[in-house]
Amino acid sequence: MDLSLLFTFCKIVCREAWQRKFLCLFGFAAVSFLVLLVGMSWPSKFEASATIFADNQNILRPLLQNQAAQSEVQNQTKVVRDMMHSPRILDKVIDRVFDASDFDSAEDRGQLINTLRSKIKIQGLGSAYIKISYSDKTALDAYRVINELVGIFIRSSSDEQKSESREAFLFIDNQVRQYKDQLLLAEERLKEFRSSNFDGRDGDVDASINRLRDQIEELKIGQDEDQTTIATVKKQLANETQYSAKRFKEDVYSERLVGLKSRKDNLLLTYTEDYPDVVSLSYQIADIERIIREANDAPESDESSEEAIANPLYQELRSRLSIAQTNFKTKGKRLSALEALLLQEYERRKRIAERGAEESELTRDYNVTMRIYEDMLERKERARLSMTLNVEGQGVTYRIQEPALPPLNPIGLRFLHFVVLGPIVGVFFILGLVVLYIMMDQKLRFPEALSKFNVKTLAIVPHVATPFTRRVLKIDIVVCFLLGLLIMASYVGLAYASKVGLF
Amino acid sequence: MKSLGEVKSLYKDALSSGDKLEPSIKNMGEVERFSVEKMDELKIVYAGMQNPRILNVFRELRTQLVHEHDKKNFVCMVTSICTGGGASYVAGNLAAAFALDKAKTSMLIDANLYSPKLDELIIGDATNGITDYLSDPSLSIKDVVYATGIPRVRVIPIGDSSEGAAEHFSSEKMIDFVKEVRTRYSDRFVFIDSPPVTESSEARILAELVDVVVLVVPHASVTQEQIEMAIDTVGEKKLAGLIYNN
Repeated sequence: MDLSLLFTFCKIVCREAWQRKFLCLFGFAAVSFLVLLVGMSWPSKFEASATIFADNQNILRPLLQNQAAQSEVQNQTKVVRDMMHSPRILDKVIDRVFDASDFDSAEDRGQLINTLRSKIKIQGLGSAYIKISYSDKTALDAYRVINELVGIFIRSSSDEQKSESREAFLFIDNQVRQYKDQLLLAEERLKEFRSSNFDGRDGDVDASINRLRDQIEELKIGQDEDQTTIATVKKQLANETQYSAKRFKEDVYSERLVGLKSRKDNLLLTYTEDYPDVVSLSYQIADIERIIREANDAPESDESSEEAIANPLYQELRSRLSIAQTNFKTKGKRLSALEALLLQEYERRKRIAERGAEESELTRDYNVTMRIYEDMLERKERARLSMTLNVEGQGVTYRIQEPALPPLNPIGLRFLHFVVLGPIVGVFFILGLVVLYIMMDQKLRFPEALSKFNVKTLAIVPHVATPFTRRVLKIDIVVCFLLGLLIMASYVGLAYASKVGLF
Repeated sequence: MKSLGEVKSLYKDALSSGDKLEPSIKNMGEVERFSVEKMDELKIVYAGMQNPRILNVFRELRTQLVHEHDKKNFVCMVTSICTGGGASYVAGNLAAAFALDKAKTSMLIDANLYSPKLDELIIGDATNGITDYLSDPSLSIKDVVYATGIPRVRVIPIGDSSEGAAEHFSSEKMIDFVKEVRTRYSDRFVFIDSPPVTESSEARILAELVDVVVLVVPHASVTQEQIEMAIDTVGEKKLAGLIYNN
């Protein structure tokens, strides 16, 4: 809004107000006195407050960490508010602070509890500090209520703390007992299972299977070897039998032939072919050669001659053949025995695998129960310690940080505020009404608005005061001033009289 | 505040200036003048007044009206939008402002049947007025023109025969009368104080007769719709403009 327009508007407001000056004065007086009357009947309010410190440590939490899912720790302020607003505590406060005979009926008492509840304000200051404030008509009442309230709350919360820690101990003790029973049961089951199990374990069976397999492999290779030996020796032996008779003759005649040939050669060195010895020798040689030829050509005969039996190689071969055959048979027997054993082991392993699942379950049960049991046992001892501490009053969660003090000055709007506010409210109320009137009234008050019409504004004639109107104005001003003075004097007088307690 | 001596010399000037006027004006007998206090009491502007602001406003108004009519004399009707709007005040002051010029005279005709106020400007008793003139054929214009306490300002009061005024105002005699007062002296400016335009038929009849109409808009008394209605009633052709009266 343009500043000059605002100024014009203010001037117009003043002019309108002046035109209705007596009405305005009357309105101003009425509003001022109304505010003063409200101030006179406005109850003064005293507020007392105390701050308590809430130790956030909950006993169950450290005791049960990770073991049991604990419910979310509630907002301390909310907990304190709920407790302080509870009828149990407020009832005690009423008993101590107020005259019990005034609140005989349950209805009156309930009413009072509701009133107290609405006046008690609980406010969290940071995480652990909680401010409790209470306001009442008198300083003493406010102080006494807050004092008793905080005292009763601290005492009852400490009792609760004790019972809480004892309950925690009992709970854990109970748990320990249960886990012990479970552990014994698991142990018993495991024992039973193991005593009824003869098959040994996985590792044993595997080792023995491996061992058997190795042996079977070895035996198979040995059998192969033996078979080869038997076949070879048999072949050799066959050759040897046939060969031994002929050979003998041939060898004997060959040796004789060689001797004769060397004798003939020696004689030929000295003698000629015609020499009788040489001739005789030649005949002998021819004979022997014939015999050898005959022996070679003659069919093999099985008949064992005396020479053949005496053949050591043959003997040797026979003995080796016999040994090889014996070995082969023995190994065959062992192999079948081992294979039977291997089958048995396979069967055993199957049985072991079947029982293994059962065993591992039992073992797991046992281990888990054992671990929890040991842990619980430890916690039980800690809980016992906490309980002892609480019973001796060491573990109190709430304590008074800032004790309540009797309030010295009332809070909120005081009588003086009303006394000061009265005329201000009166003036603004009247001016507001005038402004509202100007806004609502459709009459033209601004010459600037004439420009809206399609007609020239020739002149704006200012207000002219005649000597007579000037005199009237002066009288009006004096009268208004005196009236205002009278209103203010009676206003201050009424306020003072009320302050010193004449009413 | 002017001293009594100064005021006297002012009046003397005014009197002596009458000698230099045209012969027609000379015929007009000047009577005694209002004192400064009386002028203040009547809220009429005069030369050398204590509050020159108001004087300047009317001088400016005079200049505008004269300018619009090529410096020729005219008959101007001053009417308000509602009763008590200050039309008589503006008409009286306009007449006084025109008469400040010693070469000009002005005539005020009181046609405000419902609250005639111009009688108070007349020195002495006024026996006849415009309504008497219109209804009584034996009266001449001279019989109804009266001198005032303001130099060079004459007044024709409303008179006593206000019954049937509307009919009188629309009569031929009235038309002739207006013509007569305008043409008789070329330096005379005629102002008719008329009843509120929205509340009476007389104003509408008079508007037909005059050369120019001035509409007075009183402070905090009329709505925009009333103003629009008044403008429509007068007609933009004759309407010289609006005067906002604080």
